[in-house]
Amino acid sequence: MNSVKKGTIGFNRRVVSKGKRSTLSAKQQNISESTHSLITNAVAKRVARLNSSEWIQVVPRNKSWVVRKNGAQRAIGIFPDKSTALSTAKRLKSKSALARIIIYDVNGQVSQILS
Amino acid sequence: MPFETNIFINCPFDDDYKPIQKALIFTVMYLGFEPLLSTTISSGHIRIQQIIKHIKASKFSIHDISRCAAKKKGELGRFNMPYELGIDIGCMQFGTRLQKMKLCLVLEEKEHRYDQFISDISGQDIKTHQNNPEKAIERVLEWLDAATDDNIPSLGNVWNAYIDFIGKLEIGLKAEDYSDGEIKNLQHPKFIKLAKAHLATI
Repeated sequence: MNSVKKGTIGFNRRVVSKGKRSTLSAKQQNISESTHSLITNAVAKRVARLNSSEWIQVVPRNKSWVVRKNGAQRAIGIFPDKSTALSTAKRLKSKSALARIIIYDVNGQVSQILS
Repeated sequence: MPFETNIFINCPFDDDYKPIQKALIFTVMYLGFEPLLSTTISSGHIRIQQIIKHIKASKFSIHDISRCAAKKKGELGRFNMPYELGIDIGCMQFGTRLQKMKLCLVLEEKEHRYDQFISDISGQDIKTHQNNPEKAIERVLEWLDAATDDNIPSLGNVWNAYIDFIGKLEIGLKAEDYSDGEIKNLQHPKFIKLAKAHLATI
């Protein structure tokens, strides 16, 4: 009754719902704990140390599309539409050692990564 | 955490607000401030006590009241943000000499929408972000430029730094086997930890 199933990630978790204890299925528990898994300092440091200088960004800004190298002060170019900006980024990528194109949405979040 | 560099951020934790929340957190950290946001440590934890502690400990506060309206017909409004804004204003009014020096920025989505649900706030300096993270960053920069003697960078500088960090986060966390959903719904304590590590490298 109050038992808790053991999840695949190796620990138990209880939840309380509608006044009584209920049990998370192993799958739910796995998803939930995965979502809330701790980012360790080691992970944060590894992410921080990534060399991002070979990435190229395509970012919508002020009704235009900006192509810019990661970390650069200035934009490579500002274009009226996404397709022109993207084809410029692809051309740059093919000509140089740029490893990835990161396309952003209007909220500044990543919408697509082209390797 | 010194009083002068703490910024209490009172904002929604909804997924659709996340882009603005991340932009606000990154901006204050980029400028060298310490963001303080409420977290639920356990079910027995009294959230408001932590919020009061943050309010007392912060010279600066950002209150975003843009998500107070009900989302659907029949739903009630959400008043946590105005409630916490009220506590902060109370702290400024009735607090210690130091707390009377507190400064706050109130953010809203649209101009004068707050007149419909919190009209007593009229007269306060309320800025709008139009649900746009870049506008939210701009409002914070303008506010801190006026409120401090710090050399505040341009919006373009901060926006580019933010974009760089978001890209690094996406690629870095994917390399660590995080799913798209986990990256999108990253909780703010983790986001702060990652931003701190990133800012230490630039």
